[in-house]
Amino acid sequence: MTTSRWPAGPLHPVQRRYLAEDLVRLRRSDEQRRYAAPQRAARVDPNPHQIEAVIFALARVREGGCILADEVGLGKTIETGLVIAQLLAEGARRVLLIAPKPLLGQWRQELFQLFDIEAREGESGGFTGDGVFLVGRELAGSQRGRDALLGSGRFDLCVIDEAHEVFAGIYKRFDAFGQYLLDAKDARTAARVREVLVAGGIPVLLLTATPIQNSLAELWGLVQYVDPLGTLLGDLPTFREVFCGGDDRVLARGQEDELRTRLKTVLQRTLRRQAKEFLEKPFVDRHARLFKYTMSPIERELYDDVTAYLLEPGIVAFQGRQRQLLLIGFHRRMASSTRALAASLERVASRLRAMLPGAPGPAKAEPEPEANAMLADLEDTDLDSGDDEGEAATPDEPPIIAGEAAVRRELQRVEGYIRRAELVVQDDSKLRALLQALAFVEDHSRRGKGAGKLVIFTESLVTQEHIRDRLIESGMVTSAEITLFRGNNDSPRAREALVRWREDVAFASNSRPSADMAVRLALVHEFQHRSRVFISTEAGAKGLNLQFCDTLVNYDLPWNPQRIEQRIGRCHRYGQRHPVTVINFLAEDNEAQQLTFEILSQKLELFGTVLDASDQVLHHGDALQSGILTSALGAELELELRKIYERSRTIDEVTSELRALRERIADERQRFEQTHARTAALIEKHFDEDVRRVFRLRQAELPLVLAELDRDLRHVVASFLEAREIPHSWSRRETCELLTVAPSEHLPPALRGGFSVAIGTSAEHGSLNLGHPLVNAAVADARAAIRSRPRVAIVPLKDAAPALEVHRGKRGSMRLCKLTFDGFERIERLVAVVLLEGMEHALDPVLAEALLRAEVRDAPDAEPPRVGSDDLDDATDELLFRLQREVDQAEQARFELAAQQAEKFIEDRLLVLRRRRTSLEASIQQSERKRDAATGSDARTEAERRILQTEVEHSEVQAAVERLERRDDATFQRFQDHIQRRRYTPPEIISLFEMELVVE
Amino acid sequence: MTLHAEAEVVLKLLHTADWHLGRKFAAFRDEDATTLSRARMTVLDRILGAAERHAVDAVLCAGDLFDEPTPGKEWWEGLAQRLQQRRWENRPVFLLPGNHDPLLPDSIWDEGHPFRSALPPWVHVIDRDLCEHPLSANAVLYAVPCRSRAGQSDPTERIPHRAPGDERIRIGLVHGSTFDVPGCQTNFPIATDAAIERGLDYLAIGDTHGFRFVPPDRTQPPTIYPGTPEPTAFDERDPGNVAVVFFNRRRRAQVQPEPVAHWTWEDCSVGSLAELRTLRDRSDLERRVLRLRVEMRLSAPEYEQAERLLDDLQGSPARHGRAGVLVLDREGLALQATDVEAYCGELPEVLQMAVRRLQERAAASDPHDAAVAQRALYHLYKASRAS
Repeated sequence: MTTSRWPAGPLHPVQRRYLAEDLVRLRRSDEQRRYAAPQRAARVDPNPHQIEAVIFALARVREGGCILADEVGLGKTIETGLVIAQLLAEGARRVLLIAPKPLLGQWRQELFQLFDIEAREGESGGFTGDGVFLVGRELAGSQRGRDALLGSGRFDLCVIDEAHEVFAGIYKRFDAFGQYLLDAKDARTAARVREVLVAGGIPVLLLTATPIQNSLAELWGLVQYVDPLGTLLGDLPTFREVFCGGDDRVLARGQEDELRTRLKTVLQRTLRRQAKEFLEKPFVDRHARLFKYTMSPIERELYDDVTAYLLEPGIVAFQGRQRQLLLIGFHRRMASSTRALAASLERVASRLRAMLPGAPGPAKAEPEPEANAMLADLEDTDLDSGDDEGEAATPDEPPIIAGEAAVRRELQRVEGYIRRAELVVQDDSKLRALLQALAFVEDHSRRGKGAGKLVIFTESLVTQEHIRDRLIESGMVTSAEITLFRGNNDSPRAREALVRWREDVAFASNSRPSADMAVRLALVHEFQHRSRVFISTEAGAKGLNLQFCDTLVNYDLPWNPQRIEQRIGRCHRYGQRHPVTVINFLAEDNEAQQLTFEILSQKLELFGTVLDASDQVLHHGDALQSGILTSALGAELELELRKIYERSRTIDEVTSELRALRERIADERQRFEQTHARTAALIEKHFDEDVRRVFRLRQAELPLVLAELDRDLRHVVASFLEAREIPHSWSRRETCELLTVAPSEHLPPALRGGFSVAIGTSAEHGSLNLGHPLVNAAVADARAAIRSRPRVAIVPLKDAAPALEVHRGKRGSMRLCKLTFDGFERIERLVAVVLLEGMEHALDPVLAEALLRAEVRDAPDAEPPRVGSDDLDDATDELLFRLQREVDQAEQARFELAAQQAEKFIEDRLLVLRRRRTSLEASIQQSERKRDAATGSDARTEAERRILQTEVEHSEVQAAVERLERRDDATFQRFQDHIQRRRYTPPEIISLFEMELVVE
Repeated sequence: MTLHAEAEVVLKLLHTADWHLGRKFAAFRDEDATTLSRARMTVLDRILGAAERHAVDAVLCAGDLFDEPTPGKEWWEGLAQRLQQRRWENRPVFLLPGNHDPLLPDSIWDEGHPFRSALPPWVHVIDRDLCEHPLSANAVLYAVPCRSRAGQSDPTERIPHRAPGDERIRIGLVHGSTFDVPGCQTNFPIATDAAIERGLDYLAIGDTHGFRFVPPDRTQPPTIYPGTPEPTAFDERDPGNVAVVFFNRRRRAQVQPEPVAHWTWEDCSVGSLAELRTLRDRSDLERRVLRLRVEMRLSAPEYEQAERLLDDLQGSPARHGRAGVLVLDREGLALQATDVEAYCGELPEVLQMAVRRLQERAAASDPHDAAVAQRALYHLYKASRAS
C-alpha cells in the first residue's frame, strides 16, 4: 500500500485528508512504518537489533511491558528513546524514567541530544503535567517519592533502568504461599515503585544487561513488573517447584526450553556477537595505565597522622549531626589531593574555633557553614540517599559534650596539620605523577596513538582548581587549552564558550535547550574544538558525551564503582573509534589505597587490562565484564568502604578489613559467575544465524521505509504550506531536502517566526517527523479542509492499476472509513469504499486507493452518481467484513499464545499438586503396611491416625486438582476475560468523509 | 459494526455445530482425556467471542451440541453459564437438537430439564418439528430438529417453499448428512439441492466435523457445514471453525470460516532418531494432539536417547511434555541390545557370563523370551553406565 506514488502537483483536499490520516494512524508494531517513524524524531541511525527491540517493546506496551536485556554496550538508551519518541508521537503524554541517581544526567543528556526530549528531573511534588520525568530510584522508592508519584496522575509508560539492581528483589516480599506482603521489610524501594505501577496499571520497560544475577527468583521478580496478572511464571512457590531444582540458583533439569519459551514472551535480548556485523563502529577495548608515585616522608607522615586522627572515636570536630558524612567526606578529599586535604583541615579548624566561647554566632551551635562547605566541595548530591532500605541513612550520633580544653587541644593539633600540609602542597607527589601521565599521553599522540586530548576527573572542586593552576604553572598546558566543568558553570569562560557554541552550531532543533543544558553542550563543544584538557568534577561524569577523546584520568577514585564506570563511559561509549586509556594513580606505600584499587581493577574488572607506564601488564582484564560485574557486585562497595572507615580505629584495622572485603568480593564474583554460566543460556539460545537473518532484513528494508515516510511527510506539509499560502522554499542537500519556511501567522505558535527543517537525515537540522508541530498543524488543517460532500473528477495515473481502465466513464461514491481495533495492540486502518454505478460490491480496496492517488479535481457540475446511500452502506459493511479477517489473523496468533500462557499457569500448579498427590498416596500405602504389621494396639492406633491425617490432606489436594482441572481459579478467569476482550472486542468504525466521483 | 442508523438492512450470522459437549476420550490418559473434554467447553468462549467481534445478528447452532441426549450437569451448566454472561437481548441464539443429542422426552431439551430454565430468554431451543423465527424485518429462520439418533427422512422437507413475493432472507437450520456415498449408510439425508428447492438463501447444517461448502463449487445459495469447532479425531478434514455469514440487501451470502480451535490433531510417525529429534524440537507442539508411531530398531545407547526424547515429548511428573497431548504407539520401537558389551566397557566376569546367556536367549526362537532378554540386556547396559 505504501509503495504507491502521489501525483505531481498540489493534492486535492480529499487526498490531503487521506494522506494525513494514513500518516498518523496507529500501526501494528511490526508494520515497517511504525518502527521506522521514531528514527526521524531522533538523531540516531539505529542498528537492526535496536529496531527489533523497539518492535518487541511496542508490541508489549498494552500487555504490561517487557524486559529489554541486550548485552552491555548495545544501546538500550537508543532503544528506549525510540520507544518513548514513538509513544509520544502517538499521543502518550507522561513518561516516568527511574534510574540509579548517577545515571540521571546521562539519560537527560542523551534524551535531549538524540531525541530532542528535554526530560525533567522530578523531585517530590514535581511530577505533575506532561513530559518525560527522570527520577533517581531512591527517591522514586521513598515514601515521599511514592506519595508524589501517586498524587501526580497516571504515567503512560515507566522505564526502569538497571532493573536487576533493586527491583528484582521484589520476590522477597512474597511469602511461602505466594501472597504479596504489604508490610514486609524487604525490598521497600521496589515495593513502593510497584505500588505506583500497579495503581496506575502502568506499562513498564525494564532495562538490564543481566536479568539473572544470583537467582532465578530475581528473574521471576522482574517478570512480575511486565506481566501484571502474573500468569506467565505463576506464583513464586509454584515457580520454584516447577523451575528451580531445590535451589533458586539452579534450574530444574530439563526445564531450559520451557522457561526460555515463556521468557520469550516478555524478554528481548541481543548478544554482542549477534549484533557485531551490523555495527558501523565496532566495540573498542579499554585498558588502564597505572602511574605509581611515592610520597615524600613528610607527606607520608602527614597522611598517617591525619588518618589516625580521623579514626579516633572521640574527636570533637566531627561530633553531632552529619558526623558520618563529614568524616567520609574528609577521607575522600584527603585521597583527592594535598590541596583538598589542606582545605579540609582549614574547615575543621574553623569548625573547632566556632565551638570556643566567644565565637561569633550562637555559642556551641552547630557550625553548619563549615560542614556544608566541605560537602559542597564534593558536589555530592548522591549523599542524599533517601530512605531506601533503611541502611544508608544511619542515625546521627548524639553530640559529644566537649570541654573548652578539649576543643583547644584538638584545634592546636589540627593547626599543626595545617602547617605541615602547606609545606606538602608545594611539593605534591601525585601532581608530579599527573605531569608524567600528561607527557606520556602527548608522546603517544605524537606516535599516532590517541587524539592527544585528556579528560581529568576529580571529586573535589578544590582539587580541580589545584590541577588547573599547577598544569598551567608547569608550562605543559596553557590556560586556553583547559576547560573546566563542574556542577555550577557560571564563569566568564563558560559564558564565552556558550557564545562560541551558539555561533558555531546552527542549532535547528524543535526544542530549545534550557540554559543549564546549553552550557553543558557548550563546554563539551569547547573541549572538542578548542581545548585539550577537560577537568571535570563528578557533575561531568554524568551524561557528557566525550567519545571524541580516548584518554581519561581518574585523579582520585570515587568509592562507588558505578561512578567510575560512569566516568569511563563518557569516553568509552558508542561512537568511540579508538581503544580507551584510563589513567589511575597509586601511592606505592599506601596499602589501603592499593587494596581498594585491586578490588576495583581485579575483582570488578573496571578498567580492563592494567599496564604500568612502561607497558608492563599488571592485570589481564576482561573489559566486557566490567559493566556486568560493577552492576552485580559494585552496588554495595561504597557502603562497605564507608563502614570500614567508620568502624576502624587504626590504619591496620582498615587494611585488614579491606583485605577481608577483597576476599568477600572475590567469592561473590565466583558465585555470580557460576550462576551466570548456568543460567545465561536460558535467555541466550537464539540461533545466531536466524537472528542475523532478521537483522539483515531490517537493515535492507529500513532505507526504503524511511524514504516513503519522508515522501509522505513532505506531501502533507507541502500541501499545507501551499493551501495556506505560507511562503517556503526547498533546497536539496546531500542526505536530505531542506525546507525553509518564512514567518507566518498560519504556522503553529512555536514556529511562527519561521524555521528550517530537514526532510531526511541531517546532522545540523532536526528532521521532519510525526511529532513535529508543522506535521501536527498540517494534519489538523487537512482534517478541517473537507466540509461538505465533494464531487470530483478522477483521472487515473497512466501506469497505476490497469484494472481501472474498465471503469473509465463510470460514476460512483466513495466513503473513507477508519477502523480502530482495540486488541493486543491498538491499531487503526483506513479503508476506502468505492461503489460505482451498476456494481453490487465495492471496488477492490487496492483499486480504490489507486483512485485516491490519481489526479483529482473538483467537478461540481458533474452529474451526481446513481448510487443510493443504502447501497453504499451495504458495500461498506460487506467490504469491512472481508477485510477484518486480515487483522484477525495477527490477533489470533497473539490470542493463542496468551491462551497457552493461561493453560500453563494452571498446568504448572496441577503438576505440583499431582506430584503431591502421588507422594501422599505412597505415604498412605506405607502407613497401611505399618498398620497391618503392627503388633500392639498403640502402634496400630498411631498408624490409623496417620492414615486418616494423610487421607484428609489427600482429599484436599484432590479437591484442588479437580478445581484446577475445571479451571475454577480467579486469576485464570481474569486473564481469560482479559484476553477474550482483547481478541473479540468489535472494531470501532467511523466514516471520515464521503464524496461523489466520476472516473475520467 | 454498522455505520448507519438503519442497521437492519444487512444480516450477519454465526453458524456453528457439533460441539459434542461431554464427549469422553477413552483412548487417552486420564489427564489428557480431561483436557480434551474441557477444550470442548473452552471453545464456546471463542465462539461467543467471535459472534461479538463480528456483531452478528444471530447465532445458529446446528445440532450435536452435546455428545448425548442426557449429558452430565457440568456440561449443560457450563454452557448455560457462558450464555448467561452475555447480555444479548438483540442477538438470539438457536440451539438445534442433532442426532447425538436428539429431541427426546427427558433429554436435555425437555422443557422440565433445569438446563432449559437456566437459559436466558434470547436463547431458543428448537423443540418443535418446525420452528419459524423472524431474525429481522427482512429475514426469517426455519429450523427442524432431530427427534432420534437415526432416521431416513430429509429434515429440510419440513421447510416450506418460498412463497411468491416473499423477498425476505430465508435461512434453514437442520442437522443431517448430504453425503450419499454408495455403501455408506446416510443418517437424516439432506438433498444437496435442498436450499434451492426450498427457496432458502442459506442452509445451515451440522453433522460432519469438517468445514464444507455443499456443493463444493460454492454456488449460491450456500449450504454449509461449519464442522466441529474443536476437533474430536485424527481423521477430520478442516475441523476447528465456525462460519460467519454476511447477507447484503440482495440476499447474497458471503461465508467465511473463522478458526476457533485451540487444538490441532496430528498423526505422524518417525523412523529414525534424527526424525524423532526434529519432531521434539518443533516449536508448534504445545497445541498439538499428537499420535506418534515410532518405528525403528535401536542399539542400547540409541534406545536410551529415544527414551529421553520421548520423555521430552510426553512429559513427566516433574515437567510438562513438549507435545500438548501425546498418544504414543511404540509397538514398532525395537531394541537391539545384543551388542551391549561394546558400550559397557570392562565388565566383571560374572556379568560377562550373564550377558552371554542373555545374548543366547535373545537369539532364541520364542519372540517373547527374546524380547525379555533384550530388555534385560538394556537394563544391564543402563546399570553399568550408572555405575
